[in-house]
Amino acid sequence: MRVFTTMVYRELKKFSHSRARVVGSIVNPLIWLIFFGKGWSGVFSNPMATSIFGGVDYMTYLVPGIVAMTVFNMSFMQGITIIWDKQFGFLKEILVAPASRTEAILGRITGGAIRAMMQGIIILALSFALADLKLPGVLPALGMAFLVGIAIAGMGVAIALNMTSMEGF
Amino acid sequence: MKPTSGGATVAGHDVVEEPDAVGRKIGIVFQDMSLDSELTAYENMFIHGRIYGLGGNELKDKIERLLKFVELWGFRDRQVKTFSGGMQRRLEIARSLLHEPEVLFLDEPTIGLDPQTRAHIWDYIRAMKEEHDMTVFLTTHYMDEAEMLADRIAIMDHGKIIAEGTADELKGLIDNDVIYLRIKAPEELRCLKANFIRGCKLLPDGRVRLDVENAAGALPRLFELASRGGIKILEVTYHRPTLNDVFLHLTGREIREDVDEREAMRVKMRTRMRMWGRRR
Repeated sequence: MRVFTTMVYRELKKFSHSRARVVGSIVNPLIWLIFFGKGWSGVFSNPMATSIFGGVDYMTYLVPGIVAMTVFNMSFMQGITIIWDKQFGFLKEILVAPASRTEAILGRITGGAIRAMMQGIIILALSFALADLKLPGVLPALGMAFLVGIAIAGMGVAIALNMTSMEGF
Repeated sequence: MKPTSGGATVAGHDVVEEPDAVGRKIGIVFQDMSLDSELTAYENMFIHGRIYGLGGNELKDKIERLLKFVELWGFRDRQVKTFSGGMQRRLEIARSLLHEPEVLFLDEPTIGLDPQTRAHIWDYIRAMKEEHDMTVFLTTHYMDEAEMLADRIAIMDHGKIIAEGTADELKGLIDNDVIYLRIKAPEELRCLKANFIRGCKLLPDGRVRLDVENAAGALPRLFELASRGGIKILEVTYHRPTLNDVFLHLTGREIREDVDEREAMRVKMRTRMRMWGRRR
């Protein structure tokens, strides 16, 4: 368990150190929400569009998608950090350690999923100012975000483990 | 990874049967950096300690002691990517000591560092050998480093140990002095011959290498020989054999004049010198 928690700790520490990456990961979905979302919401304000969107306006329809996309992208990126570690040596440190490799991998996946979920939360929180969202819906949304994060980070890591360079990813 | 043949034990543990037990007993400093450059010095130490099963105040105290030992305590909260090469090396050495290994492997720990930092790292290696009573395996290309630090030295060529012993024992393999000459001879000269010259080699750089029993006594006779033969001596250097000479003598690098540059480079890359300190 200690290796698992240590790897999660490492992911979260890295997240807290790279302010540029956090800001960068938020700017892109925000641009989508504000320019694309606000821009098109005028076009989709007729009753027919609203019925297609399940009775909500376009912004409210768009926010969950953008949040899911953020989580998806960010957790898939977790694979890149594995290639990064391969190239810059930290993976060796793990491999020579008397540590369970299964735990190390699961820790990386979980850490990446939590990181992606936190980025999703930031987008979600900012979206409350833009769309008509309901607070009770946040909790299931977080659960979904975490599950998506685990699945996609796992996929990213599995692909990355078989790769040696950053270019192909 | 399974061995093709044979077996090995480290600190009493079989490397195939008990890899984790072996892992706990050894510390490794790799040739290339293996730190997490996004994290701070302290976090790198902390993560290493956690993976090796340390924790709590014990871990905190150890990190503080070791970071002070390599003089990085003042930089503990700075990200490793802002560190110089020497600082990163020092941090790696500190990290490798965190779980108090019995055997420490240092793979060319001073490569690419300036002389000052190299001397610094030598001091650490000596100090930690004293303090922790551990066996240190160190690979290096620098003969002076091997001579200064090692109790026992093994010279490797093409993956095989070709000589082993103390620095003095190895130097004993060459029981003569070495004179290097740069000469201008009237005709194409193969080599100098005289009864006091034991060996003579033409080096690829145009110099002549002579093996003599006693350089101080041989030099006047050499000048005499040269003036009689109409040979002009442009430059003379001589010295007692060093580990460098032993290394060249054993690996025979300088007599491979026929090999092309690429091959020479490859030989150089594969030739490693290995040394270790005996457990006291």
